[in-house]
Amino acid sequence: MKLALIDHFAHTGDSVLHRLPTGSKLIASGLLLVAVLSIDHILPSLLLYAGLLVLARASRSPVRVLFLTSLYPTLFVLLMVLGGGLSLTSTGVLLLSRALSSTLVAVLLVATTPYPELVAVGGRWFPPLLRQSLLLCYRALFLMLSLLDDIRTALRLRGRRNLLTAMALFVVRGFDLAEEQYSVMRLRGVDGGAMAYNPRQCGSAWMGWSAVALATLVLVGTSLLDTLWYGEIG
Amino acid sequence: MSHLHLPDGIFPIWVVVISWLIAIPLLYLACHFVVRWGALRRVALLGVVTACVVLAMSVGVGIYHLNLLVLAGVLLGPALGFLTAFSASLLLALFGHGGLSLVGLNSIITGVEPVMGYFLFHAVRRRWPQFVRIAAALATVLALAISTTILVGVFFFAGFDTGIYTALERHDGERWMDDAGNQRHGHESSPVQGHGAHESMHGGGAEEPSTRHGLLSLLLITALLLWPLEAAANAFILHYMSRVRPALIVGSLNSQALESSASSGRHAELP
Repeated sequence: MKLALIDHFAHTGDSVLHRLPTGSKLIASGLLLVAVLSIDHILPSLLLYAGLLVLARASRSPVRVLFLTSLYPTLFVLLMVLGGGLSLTSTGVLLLSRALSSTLVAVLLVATTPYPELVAVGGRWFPPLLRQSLLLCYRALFLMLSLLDDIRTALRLRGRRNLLTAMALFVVRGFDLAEEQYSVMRLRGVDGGAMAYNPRQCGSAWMGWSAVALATLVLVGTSLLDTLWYGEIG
Repeated sequence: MSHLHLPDGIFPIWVVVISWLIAIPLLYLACHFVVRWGALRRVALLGVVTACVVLAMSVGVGIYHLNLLVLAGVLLGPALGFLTAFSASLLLALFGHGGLSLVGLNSIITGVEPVMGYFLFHAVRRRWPQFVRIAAALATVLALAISTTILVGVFFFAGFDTGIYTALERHDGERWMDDAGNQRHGHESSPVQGHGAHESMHGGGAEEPSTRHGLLSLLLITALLLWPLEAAANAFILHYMSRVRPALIVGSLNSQALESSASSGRHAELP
């Protein structure tokens, strides 16, 4: 997974999708997810996937990275095929296209919205502790990625010996970083409650409502197409 | 192994709803216990451990990757361990690793690992404090066995029915069977349509056992082959930590246990 790269797109992107208010994007993504999951036929499902790829293009993020990330569920659908749980017929193709579309919805959301904003807006109903832990996890992730790079370099220089020791060292060093981070947080007055986050400047509210309306149209449209398709073959 | 990684749309909607109805109270309960046990100080560590889990789950060997959730349980305790499982599942789902609607189910199944891992590890270690590696390996294997059993149970009871089998098989003119086992033909209306119907998976009961058993066998064989890897990794890391930073493991106990262990000098013999 290209966590750092996708996060970079979210922070540096400047497309219409990036400027949409986060709450609207969350609602629109939820509606698109419902649309993806409610389709029972291949053609509408593939059309929706194609539409999402067009949306990915409109986000001005490298479509290739988003497309490759959306292919991830293919591995697990193939595993199910190998296990006999699915056949490579229309059913398998439909499940695969559903999986690809839903993954693309999630990746598109995270590639156009900085993660802290997602947590700040989407996590309003979470307990403060959970919201805090999600933000800390995000922060720690990049500390750990940097640490992982250092350890990888050290391993390469030393001839890749003792991978498990390197892993253990990675965890211990990560704990040291966390302790330092905690001390800094305490000094700044964090007491376990929710952490404040100032969201960046987003587009106007009408843009957000337009996005939600568009997603609703997609949901209704795909449902109608699905029903029509079903009617034709039924 | 127990991490589902299954994309959205595989399980029927009732599985998704029920799993969220179970996961949400568990999350609130975990937060409550974190405060009650005075483990707030370890919330910063939770971020690091979740990051480790996410990185371990992102870097796979083929289709397998380490979970490190038992390690999370041992180091953070059961409540924070469960929160780690949820945070990791949510973060991974946002980056395309598993379905967003299945985060609740993933959290329950993977959340079993840190909770069980914590109790099993400390149960063994209290009896044989010098055998850290054995305690870690045993806790890992047992915790994975329990979570995989739950996973298999979900597969067995829920299957993959999403209602689409009926529609497609009708399209193909294939026969399908109703709940009572009566065969019907293509153009009749389905007893179940759309989501929420689990009775008609693979067109009814006739093909169901073979397909389910095939998948479950594959899952179990893979699990049995890969558990030792996870156990070895956890055993090594915990053994290393017990030598380098024993306080990290001792400190994972809740405040009462920590006090009692400190007063009895239970961990004094650690190197």
